[in-house]
Amino acid sequence: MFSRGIRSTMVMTALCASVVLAPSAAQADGTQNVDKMVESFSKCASREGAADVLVLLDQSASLSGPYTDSNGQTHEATDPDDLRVSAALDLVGQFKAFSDDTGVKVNLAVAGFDGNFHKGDWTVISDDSISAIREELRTVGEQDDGRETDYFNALQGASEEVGKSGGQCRLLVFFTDGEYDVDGSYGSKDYSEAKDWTQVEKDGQAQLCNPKGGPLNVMRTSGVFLASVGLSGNGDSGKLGFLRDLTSGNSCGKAPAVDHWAFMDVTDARSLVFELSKVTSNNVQDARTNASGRSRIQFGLDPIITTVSVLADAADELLRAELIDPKGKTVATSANSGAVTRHGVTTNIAQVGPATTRFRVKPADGGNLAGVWTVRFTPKEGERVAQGTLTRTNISVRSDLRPQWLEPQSVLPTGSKTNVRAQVVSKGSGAAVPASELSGAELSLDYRDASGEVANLVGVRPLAEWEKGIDVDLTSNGEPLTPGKGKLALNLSVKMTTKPVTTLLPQVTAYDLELVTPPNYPTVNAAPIVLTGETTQDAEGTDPSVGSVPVKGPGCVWLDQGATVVQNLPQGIEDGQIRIQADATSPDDCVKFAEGQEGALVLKAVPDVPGYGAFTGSVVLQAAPDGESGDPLEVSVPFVAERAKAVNLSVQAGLLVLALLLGLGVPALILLAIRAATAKIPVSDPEGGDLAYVAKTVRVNGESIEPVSLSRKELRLAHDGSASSVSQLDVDGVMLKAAALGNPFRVANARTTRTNATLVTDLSTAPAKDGSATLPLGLAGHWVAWNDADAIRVLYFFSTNDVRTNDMSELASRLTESLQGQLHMFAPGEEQPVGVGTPADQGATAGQSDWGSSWDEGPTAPAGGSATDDSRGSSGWDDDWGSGSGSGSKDTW
Amino acid sequence: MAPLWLAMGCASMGVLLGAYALITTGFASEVISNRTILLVILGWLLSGLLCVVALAVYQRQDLKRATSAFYSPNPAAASLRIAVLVAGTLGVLINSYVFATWLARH
Repeated sequence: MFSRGIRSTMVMTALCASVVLAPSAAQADGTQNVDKMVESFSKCASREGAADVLVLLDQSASLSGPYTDSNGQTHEATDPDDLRVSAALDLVGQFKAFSDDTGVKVNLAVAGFDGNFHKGDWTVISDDSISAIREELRTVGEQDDGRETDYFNALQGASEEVGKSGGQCRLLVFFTDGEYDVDGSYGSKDYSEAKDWTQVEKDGQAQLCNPKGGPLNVMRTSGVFLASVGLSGNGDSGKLGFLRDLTSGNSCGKAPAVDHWAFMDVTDARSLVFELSKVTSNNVQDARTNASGRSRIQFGLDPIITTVSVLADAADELLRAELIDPKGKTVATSANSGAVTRHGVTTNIAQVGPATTRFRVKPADGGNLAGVWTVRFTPKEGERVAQGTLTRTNISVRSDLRPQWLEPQSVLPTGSKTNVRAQVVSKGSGAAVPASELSGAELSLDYRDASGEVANLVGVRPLAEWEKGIDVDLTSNGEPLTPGKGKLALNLSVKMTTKPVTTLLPQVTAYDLELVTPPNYPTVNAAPIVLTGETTQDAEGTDPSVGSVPVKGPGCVWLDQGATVVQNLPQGIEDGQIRIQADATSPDDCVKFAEGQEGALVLKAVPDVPGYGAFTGSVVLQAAPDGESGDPLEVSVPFVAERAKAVNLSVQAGLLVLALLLGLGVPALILLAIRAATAKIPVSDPEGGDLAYVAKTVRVNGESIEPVSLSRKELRLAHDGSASSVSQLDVDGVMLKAAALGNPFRVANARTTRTNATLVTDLSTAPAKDGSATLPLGLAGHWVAWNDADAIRVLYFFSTNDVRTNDMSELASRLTESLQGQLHMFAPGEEQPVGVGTPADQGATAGQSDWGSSWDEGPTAPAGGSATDDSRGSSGWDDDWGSGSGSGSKDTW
Repeated sequence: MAPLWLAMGCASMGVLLGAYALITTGFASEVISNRTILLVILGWLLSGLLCVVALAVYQRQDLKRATSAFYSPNPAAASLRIAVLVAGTLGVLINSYVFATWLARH
C-alpha cells in the first residue's frame, strides 16, 4: 500500500507528464498508416528523382453552408472559412521545400470534384511556377457550390489523370468532407442503370470495391499512393466509414500495398492544416496547456540535421508560439513573419492556418542545429488561455548526408553476384563521413526493375560493413531479376540519438542500372506497355487492344498465356471474358530473333463482350536462348489499357441529324424570318434621305448612247414618305416588289417588272426571258431600263441626300457610263415598242403623284412632270438643296 | 463591316473549338470530358445561331447604307459573307459530330 502522500505525488507526476510531455497521441483516433506511407513515398520519390502529386479537392456545397443531403438530413457547413485551401497551400509549400532540399522534381496538379471530376494541369513545382500553382489551388479550392459528392467519378477521373503522368511515384491526396452522395443533379451516371439514387450510390460503391476492376484497383496495381483526408465535421466521423474502407482496402477490393495508403480523419476544419502536414512528415508531438495557459514541446536534433521545419499548432488564437534553440534563446516567434536571422540560425516564419505557424530553420554560416529545441506556447500579453488546451507540433528534418556507391556499374548481368562498396558523404562539403562518426547509420539496397517492381537485395546492414563491401545477388526469391533498365537504390537510415528523438526519413541515392540477360538470351524490355486500339487511342466494342514488347536477339520469345494475368477488368467485362493473345504462345511457334536483331512481340487483349474503362495486368513472356543451351527466362511485363464505351451508331446518326437540323435549320429559319421581316424597299430615312429617281429617254447612236444629262427639275420622289420602307413600289409603270421569301442565306432583293417590256438593270448579266429583272432593296445608285423604240427609257434611283451634297453631273456621268456598259443587252426590234414617254405623258404614276403631293406641301411644289419642273424656280430649288445639308427631312425638302 | 467580321469571328471560333475537340479526342474516339463538351456546345452555338445573328445585323446595316447612290459596298464583303456561311456550316458540322458521338457513348 502506498501512503496518501506518495500516491498524491505519483498522481501529480503522471498528470504533469500527461500535460507537458503528453504521449504522441496527437493523431485523431481514426488516422491510420501515415508513417508507413510517408516513408515509402519519400523513398520512392528520392529513388526516382521525381514524383507526381495529384491534389483532389471536394467542391460540394456542404463545405460552405448548411445543406440537405439526398436523405433529407440537414448538416452544418464543414469548412466555411476555406481552411482546406490553407492546408493544401502549406502542403504545396512542403513539397516545394522537399524539392529544394533533395532535388526531386515534384509534378503537381490540382483537381476538383462534385458530381463530376474537374481535372487540372500538371506543373513542376519550381520558383517560377509556385505562384501559379498556389493561385490554381485557391481557385479550385474555393469552389464550393457542387450539389453531389460522387466518389466514383472523382476516383475514376483521378485514376486516369495519375495514369497519364507515367511516373513511378504517384501520390493522390484525396480530400472530402462528405459521404458518397448523389441525387441526379448532374444527370445519370455511367456506372449505374438504377433509377433510385440510393441504389446508384450502392452501385458506385460496389464498382469502387470490385476486386477485379474499377479505378481504385487500377491505382493500387499501378502502385499509386493514396492519402485520404476525411473532414467529418461536428465529430460525425461515422459518415466517412466508406472513405476509410476504400482507402485501406478494408472489405473494399484488392488490398493495397501496406505502405501505399494513409487515412486522416479530421473532425474539425481548424485541424486541417496540421493533419494534412502529415502527408510529408509525421513527427507529431502534443502537450496541453497548464494552469498558466502555457505548454512546451521539445525535440532533439543530431549534428547531421541541416534543416528543420516546425509546424506549431497553438490551437488558440490567444497563444503565441516561440521557437527556442538549445541554448535557451528564442530564435523566432509566431508574432513575426518572413525571414529572421537570430543567434546563428535563419528562420522563415509563415502563418499557415488559424493559430498555426510554420518555422523553417537553417543554420547560418555553416553552423549546426544540434541539441534539444523547444516550441513554447504562451498566452499573448494580457490574455488568458484555459488549462488543457491541446498544442501540437509536427517536425520535418533533413540531412545533407547521402549514401554513395563506390565504383558504380551501369550494366550487370542479371542473376550474377557483384560486390557493392558504399560510404556516406556530406552533400554540402562532398567529404566522406566515416562509419565511426555515424554510429547509428545503416544502409539497405533495393532494385526497381523496368516493370516497376521493387526488390530488396540487401536488408539493413551497418555502414561499416558497406564500407568494406557486401556481395549482392542480383536475384529475387532465387530467380534472376527482370532484365532491362532499372534503378539501384542505396537507402541510408540514421538513428537519431538526441532525445526527444526526431525521426529522419531515409536518405536515398539511386543509380541507373541495366540488367542484361545471360549470353545467348534475348533481351526483353520489361517497361510497362500501353495497349491501344488498332485505329484509335482506346479500343471499343469487341475490338482488340494492341501493344508490343520490344525484344533484342538472339533467342526466341513467346507469350506464356497460363502465367499472364489481367488484374483489373473494364466495366461490363467479367473474369475470363478478355484474353491476352499473341502469335507465339509456345516454344514451337516462338518468335525468333537473330544476334543483335531488334523487333517486338505483338500482344492483343481480345474481349468477348463490350466493356469500357481501364484494365491492367501483367503479361509473362518466356525468353529462351539461341539454340537449346538453357532454360527459358521468365519476364513479366505490366500493361495498362483503356477501353472506350462503344458508340451506338444509330443513336449517333440520329443525334447528328438532329444537331445538324437544329444547328443549320434554326439559323436558316432565323435568316428566313429576318429576310421576310426586313424585305422592304427603303424609301425614306431620316439620315439617308428619301428615295428619288429620274426618268429619262436616252438616244442610242449606233454602238453608243448619247451622254445623259440630269437636272434637279427632273427629280421625282418614289414614295410619299408615309412609310420608311415598302414591300412594293410602282415607279413610272415599273413594279418593284421585295422578294420576302427565297434562299435564306442570300440577301433579299427587289423583283422588277413592267408590262410588255424586257427590263435591264445595271446589275443584269443577261435579259431574263420573262422580261423581269432584280435590283437590290437599296435602290439608290441603280437603274432599270427598257427599249423605247430607237431609244432607251431609264429610271435612275438615288437618295435626296445624294443630290444635296453632290453635283447632278456626277450622277449623270455614272448613269451614262453604266448604261454604256450594259448597252449590248438592249436589242431593238425584238420586242414590242412600249409607249414610254415623259412622266407627264404617262399620267399619274406613283412617283408623279408622290412628287406632286410632297411638292404641294413644300415651299415650291412642282405639279409633276417636266412642265411642273419648269414652273419651279431653279434658284429656290438649289437653295433648298444647299440648305438641306443632308438632313434628308421632308421639311427641308 | 464590323458585324460581318464579328460573324466571321463567331464562325471561326466555332470551327476552332470543334477542331480542338476533334484533335484532343482523336476524332471523338477517346473519352470526351465534360469541359470539352461545354466547348463543343459553345462552338455549335457560335458557328450557328450567334454567327447568323451577327450576319443579320450586318445585312440590316448594309441595307441602310445602300440608300445612297454613292454607296459602294466593300469589295471584300461578298466574299467574306460567303466565307462566314461556309465556316459557320463547317463549325456546326464538326461540333454536331463530336456532340452526337459523345452522347452516343452514354
